[in-house]
This record gives sequence, structure tokens and C-alpha cells, in this order.
Amino acid sequence: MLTRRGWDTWKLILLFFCPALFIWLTAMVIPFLYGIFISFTKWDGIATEYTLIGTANYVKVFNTSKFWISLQKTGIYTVGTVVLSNLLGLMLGLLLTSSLKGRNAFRTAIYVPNVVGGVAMGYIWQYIFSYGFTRIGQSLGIESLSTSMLSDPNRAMVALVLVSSWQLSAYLMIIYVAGFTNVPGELVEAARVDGANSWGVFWHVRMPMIRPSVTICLFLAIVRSFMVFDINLSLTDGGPFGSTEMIALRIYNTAFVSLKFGNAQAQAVILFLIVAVISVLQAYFTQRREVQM
Amino acid sequence: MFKKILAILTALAMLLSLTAAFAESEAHNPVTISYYSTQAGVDEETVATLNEFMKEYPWITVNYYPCGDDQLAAWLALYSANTAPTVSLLDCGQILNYSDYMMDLTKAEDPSFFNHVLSGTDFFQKEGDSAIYGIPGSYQGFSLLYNKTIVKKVFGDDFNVDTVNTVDKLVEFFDKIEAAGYPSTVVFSADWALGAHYLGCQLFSEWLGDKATQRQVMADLKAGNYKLIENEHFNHLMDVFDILMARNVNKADPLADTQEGDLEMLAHGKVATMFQGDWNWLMIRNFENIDELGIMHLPLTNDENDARNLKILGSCPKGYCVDTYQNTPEQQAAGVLLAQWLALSPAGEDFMVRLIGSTLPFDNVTAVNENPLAVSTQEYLNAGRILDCSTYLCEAPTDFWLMVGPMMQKYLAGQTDRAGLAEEIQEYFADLD
Amino acid sequence: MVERKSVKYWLFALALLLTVFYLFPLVLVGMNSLKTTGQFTTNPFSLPTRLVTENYPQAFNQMHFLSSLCNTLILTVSICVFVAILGSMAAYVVSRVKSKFVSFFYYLMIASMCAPFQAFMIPLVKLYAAKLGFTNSLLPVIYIATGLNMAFSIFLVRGFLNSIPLEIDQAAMIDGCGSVRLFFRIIFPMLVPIEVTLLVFVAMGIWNDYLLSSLFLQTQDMRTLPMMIRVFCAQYSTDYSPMMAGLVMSIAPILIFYLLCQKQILAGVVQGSVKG
Repeated sequence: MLTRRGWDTWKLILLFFCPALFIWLTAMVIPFLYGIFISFTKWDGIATEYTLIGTANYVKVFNTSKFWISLQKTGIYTVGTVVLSNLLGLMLGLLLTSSLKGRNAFRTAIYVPNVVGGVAMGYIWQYIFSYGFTRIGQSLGIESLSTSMLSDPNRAMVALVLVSSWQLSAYLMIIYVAGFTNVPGELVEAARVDGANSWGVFWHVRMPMIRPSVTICLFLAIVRSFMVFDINLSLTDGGPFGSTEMIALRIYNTAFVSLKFGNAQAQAVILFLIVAVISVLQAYFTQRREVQM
Repeated sequence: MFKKILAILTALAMLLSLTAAFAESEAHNPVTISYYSTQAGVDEETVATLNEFMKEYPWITVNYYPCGDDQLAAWLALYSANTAPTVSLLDCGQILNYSDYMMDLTKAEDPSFFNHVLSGTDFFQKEGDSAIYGIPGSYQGFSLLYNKTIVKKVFGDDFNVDTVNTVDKLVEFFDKIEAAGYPSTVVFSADWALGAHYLGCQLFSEWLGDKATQRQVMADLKAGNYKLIENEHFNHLMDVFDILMARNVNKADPLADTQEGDLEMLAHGKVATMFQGDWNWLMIRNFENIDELGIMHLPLTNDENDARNLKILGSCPKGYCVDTYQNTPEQQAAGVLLAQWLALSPAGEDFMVRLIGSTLPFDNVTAVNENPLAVSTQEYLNAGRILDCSTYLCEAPTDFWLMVGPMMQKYLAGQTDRAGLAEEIQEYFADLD
Repeated sequence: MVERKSVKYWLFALALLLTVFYLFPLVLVGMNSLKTTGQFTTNPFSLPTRLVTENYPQAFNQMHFLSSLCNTLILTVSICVFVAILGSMAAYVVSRVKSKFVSFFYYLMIASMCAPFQAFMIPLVKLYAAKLGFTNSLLPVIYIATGLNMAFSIFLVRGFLNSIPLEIDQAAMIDGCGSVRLFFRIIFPMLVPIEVTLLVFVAMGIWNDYLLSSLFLQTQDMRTLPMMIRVFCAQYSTDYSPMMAGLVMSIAPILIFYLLCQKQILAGVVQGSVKG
């Protein structure tokens, strides 16, 4: 740490940190606290009076098996998506920083899907799953491909993970590309001279150097997966028979279809606590390892 | 001489009407109101229609709030911002849910416009309350959509679908179609279609008994002391669903269909029937070279004398309501003018009939409908062959389709049996607050 | 780098395969924007038999393309500027100042990234539109989106700052450079690569944002591209072909932005690697 005198430190905090803090507090924290307040009420979405009902919403949420099932499904989905998207992203990052012809063109082409909003892409994929893959399956006589993945609960989950990873990995690729580019070429060369093979170079030289990128990517993937909404809505809409209703979609439906705003807010608060604990722990531990190495 | 007098009289009349018009606009203070429409996808045309309204009522300015596909969220956001739309075109269930904030239109300054409304006002009324919270905005019929071209090929040109008046005859009807080489039906598997239209509307309809009985069943379900599996009508409904399921052209993979895909098959003669509504015309009309289409009833019993077997389901799903919560009395008065104009003026009717392809339950409609399905609906409506499903649309919980739709999908996929389905529906009701 | 030729070819083939996988759905969008909606629903995978170009002018008009593009641009640019500058200033403090106050709020900010937007969207409207009167205006969207992205910005930049050695700061301070000048003259220029990465993320998020904008922008002339793309979706039917034409047109500007950024990322990375 720099040696600044106390007053200087506070001046710096006031000047540099507090503007961001203020905007964040007013745009996020205060509305969120308001939301927590709503979770203790029964509210119809319009009225200016709220009926305080204590913790009834929380009790109800805790006793709703569908909430826990949805949470569990979201957990499975998150694990799948975080692993797959990071593996893909890492591979892309490695591939697209190697001496490859037309590297920049590839980077752009692969990044493009990420530019299109989630909802539109979900509809396109729905068509691909319903009509594209099934036609291929039928014409090749592959039984497992000839029915749509979206009509079976387990395979629909796989489809959801696939499409999410497809999009997310292109997003993570950027960070991995930046990470790999930052690995000094001399270091790799030195390792090669010392007789390390490609795997050794990757594992012992490149990986440690991109650990900050891994931290960021894991964190982003965890948060984004827990919050998945657009693709969930447009690809499966929670189906078949409600088996892929992730928690964010469930919260939205509880509020705007079932019109139970207090209940929806209570679910959101619980979700927030869970995700916050998981991701802060993840960030804390991986960042500590960065410092150690 | 006579001509001269006539000319003078005409001039005088014109002058009078001019001053009258002038006086009228003089008498009104300018007022700005807003309109929110859940009729998505036709923003340009809505704006044009509103401009016409503003020409007729020059002292009223209307701001238009188009909706996204998350209709209710955007609407509630307007309320949260203290900018509630003066007039909204909303689902009837929604209007009744929020009726505390809506005007009782029978108490409008001049409620005589209701004289033109032939039916459908009951979709905007609450139990035991004479207030009407909405003016019907459209009328929709739904039941078995069928491909007339196929039916004519199989049964001859003058075949009358009214002869299909029992379940046995329906089976025979399907058999003959299949014998001629056409798949007889497709079951559209979206949660809202199965939950709201097939199960919800048909279950809580006059098949169940009169209005009081329907309400009683719903109340008993909520109280958790009703055995759905013992209900005769529920069993009839599911018997017919079993028939449709067994003949479903998508049987191998029943949940993999899309609405466009199913409609494409129907419109191009790849399947003969599909349980859905006349609003699907909006999608069907995009296809090229479509066959002749129509709606027919779906018989549920083998009683030839049961008139209900020859009826289709009909409803006023949307209506115009006027906010009283965040709008001034002046705005509300202007809002009533707008609402009735949108519903009942030639321009408003033209919009609904020609653009949206809806039938209208009014006595002054002149616009010609190009939607053959809505023409079928109109015929059933004229003949009084409509099953009332207002109990479902107005009184069932708003998330019924969201919760029960997936249960029906499970049944469709063979993952549960009838008893299991009935059990799950009962659990859903018992778990409501 | 010494790599055998065959490996190179294999890598190229792999990259090509991956590109197909990543690009395929988008090719479908482009292809179907040149067909009619009827043709699309009949067979989304067929090649257009005759090029239907009407979808583009139709989408252009129906989406009020120029005005919605303009709104989207204003939002994206201003939010990006605020997020980048304010966020990296705060990140600098987080990275360089040892203070319980700062680190407490930093971890709270990280945690706040996990708050589902659905949990506070209605309260947001209540506060900003009802209480402060910001309706139908780009301002609350800019302000709130800046706030929502602030934690992410600080999080990302802080990681990068931690890898910039303290000696740089110390040397500058010994030369009598004040904190403000130190940051803007010396540190900020070194942040270019991470700023560009950050902006690619933030810009993409704003460019595609629907929920937040829809809460504050009601009338047609205030709407953004992602909102206008939905003019083709009616309740029971979607006019797919013009929608896809609209999609292609909405992607184009942000794609150009990405292409420009990509050069910057590379250039910036070269700069950054001097740090040693």
C-alpha cells in the first residue's frame, strides 16, 4: 500500500470512490431495500398502501416445494453452464491467440452471436432444436436425435446449457484472449527451451499467468447463470411441463402472472443471498490464490 | 324558387352546424390522455386510428403507450410512475383484478353506447356487482379448427359438420379422414393452449352446470374438498382429449411442436383439425396458398340431444377500461369518449375487424371480415351456439394456465395419468392463498 | 514460435469448425431475413428461392429505425463513458487504499452483482418515476444503468490494477505528482486494454437491454432498438422475416464498434505488457 497521510487518503476516497458509491447506492441499494420491504407485505402492484404481513411470504416460499426444485434446477444448470462455457472459452482463447491464419476474422465471427440479444437467439435455437436436429436425426436414422431435445426434461436442460454456453463462451473468450495475450512470449519460449511440451507450457506457464482471467470468468459465469432469464424464456419457456423453469423466470412469473409481488420479492431476496454467498466466496478464494502465487 | 329556398336552407344548416361545432370545441378545455394497448404488433395502425380520433375530438390529445410482450409489467410500471394510462385495452381477467382502480362504465356520463353491445359485458363484471368495468374490445371463438378443403374432398361438397354431434360421430369423422390418407388432428402443446383453452375454458363452462354451479366447483377446489376425478364433465373432457392424443400427428414427439408449425400443417392440408381459436388467422395469413378453413364444435358426450355438443367456446378476452386512480375527472370523461370510440366507431371497428381479424358483438358493425375463422365464429354467435366460459376467464386465478398447462403437457407426454392430473390440479387450487 | 505445419492446419480446421458452430444461427437469421414469414415458418432451413428484400425497408420504417438507433446510441455512449471513468477511479481507490470503509463497500458491491433485476425493477420505477418525476426520459436509464454496471466495472478494473506495480505510483509521487494527476496522467492510460474489454461488455449489455429501458421509455419516439424489435411480435403471431431484417440492422452498428475495439484491445495489450 502507498503511504499517504490520513487526510490525503480520505480526500482520495471522497473524490474517487464516493461518486461511484453514491450512484451505486441510489440506483441499486435503495431500490433493493425497498424491494426487501415489499417482501414483508401483501401488495397488488398498484396500491400506495401496503399490508404488512411479517414473514408470511418467506414462510410460504420456504414451504413451496416448487421453489426448491426450481432452485435445485438452477444449481444444476449453473454448474453445467459454468463448466462448459469456461472450457469452451478457454479453448477459444488459447486457439485464437495461437499463430493462426485469419485470427482476427475468427475472433469476430465467433463473437458475433453474443451481439444478438438473448431472446431473439433463443427463438432461432428453438427452431434448430425442433426442426433442424430432428430432421437430421430422422434422415440419418439416429433415434436419440429424431425427437426434439426440448420435449424431454433432461435433454431440455442439456439444450439450455448448450445454448447458454454457446453464447456465454463467446463472451468469456474476450477475457481469456486478453489474458493469454498478456502472457509474455519470452516466458513460453524459455519453458520450451527447457524442454517443456505443449501441455507443460499450457499447464505450468500459461495457466498460472491467466489466473486473474479465470477468476473473473468464473464469477461472471456464476452470476449470469444464476440470473438466466432471456434464453430460459425464449428457448424452453420453463417447459416441458415446467421442468426447466429457472429461478429468475419463476420470480418474474410469480410477480407478473400470479400477481404475488410480495412472494416474488421474497424469492428474489433468498436468491440474492444464496448467489451472493457463493460468488463472494468464490471471488475471495480465487483472488487469495492469485496473491499467493 | 324552391331550389333557391333549398339552397338557402342548406347554407343555413351548414352555418349552424359549423357554429355548433365551433361552440362545442369552445366549450371543452383541452385535455391530454393516454392509451395503453395490449394489441401488440400493430403500433403504426393504432397511431393512425388515434389520430383519426383526435381529428374528431380536437380538444383531446392522446399519447400512445405501446406494450412489449411483457404486457402486464409495462402496464404496472406506468402505474408505479404515477402515469397510469387513461384508457387501457386489457384482458378481462386483468381488468377485474384491478377493478378497484377502474371506472364503472355504467356510471359514465352517457352510458347509452352499451345499447350497441349485444353480448360480452358479463366478461367485465364481478360476481354480485352490477358495475361494468370494460367495453368489449373483441370477440373470439375457439374450438376445433378444421381444413374445409380436406373435409370436402373426403365427405363431399355439401357435407354439414353439424352432423358430427356426438363423440362417436367425431371418432367416425376422424376415421374417415384418416382412411382418405390425411392425419386427422394435431394437438398444439403450448402451456397456455392446453391450460387455458383446452382445460380451463372448457372445464369451467356451462358443461359444468349453471354459473352458480361453476362457481361452487371452483370454490370447493380452492377449499380443497373437491374430487375432480369424480366429476363427469372432467372425465368427458379428458376422454375426448385421449381421442385427440391418440390421433395426434405429432404423437411420436408431442411436445416438440410450435404454433407456426402446427398451423402450417393445418393450412396446407397436412392435417385436418386442430383445437385452437380464430385469432390464429393472424399467423395463418402469412402462408402462401392456404386451404379453406373453418371452426367447428367439439362434441364431448354421446347425447345427440345435448345442444352443448354443437356449440363452440366464445369469449370477449379483451376490453377497454378507464382508470380512475391516477386520472382527473376531465381525463376520465375524455377517456370514456376514447374507449367507446375505439370500440364502437366505424374506424375503431374497422381496426379490430380488418386488421386483427376479430368478430365484434355489436349491432353496428359494417366492416367486412377477411378472417374465415372469425366468419365461422360469427355464424355460431348468430345462431346462439356459444358456450359461455366467462367463469374461467374472469374468476380463475391469473396463473391457472401457467401452473395447469405444464400438468396437461405431462399428461400429453404420457408422464402422468388422469388421476394424477386431477390430483395435481386439486393441489394447485388448494395451495392458493 | 515453432509449430509444425500439420498442427497449424489442424488448428485452422478446428477454428473453422467452431466458427460454423458459433455463426450458424446467425446465418439463419440473415438468410431468413431475405424470405417471407410464410417461407420461414414452412422451412426455416431452406435457401431463399427468390430474394425478398422488402423486409428491410419494412423493418426500417416499422422500427422507426433512425430515432430508435439514435436513442440507443445516446444511452450506450453516455453509460459507457460514466461507467468507464467513474468505475476505474473507484477501482483505483479499492486497489491502492487500505481502508475498512472502502473494502466493506467493495465486497458489498460485488455481492450486489448477484441481485436479480426483477427484485428491484418495480421499486426503481416507484423511486425514479413516481417520486422524482423522471418519466419518458433517457436520463433515469443512463443514471440507473451506470449504477447497475458500476460494481462490474470496479471489479474488472481492480483486477487489472492489482497487476500494475506500486512502484509506478511511488515513482510518480516522489516526483511530486498529486493523486489526481497521477491517476489521470499515468494510471488511466495504462488501463486502456481493460477499459476496452469492459466497454465491449457494457456496451453490449446496454445495446440489448430491454427490461430497464421499457420501464422508463414509454412513447414511441423514446424507444430503443431492442424495444422496437418487438413491434413484430403480436400476442399470438410473430412477423419473423422483417424481425430478422431488423435484427441484422440492429447488430451492424455494435459489430462495427466491436471491430474497432478489437484493434484497440491488441494495441492496448502491447502497451500494457511493458509493465514488466
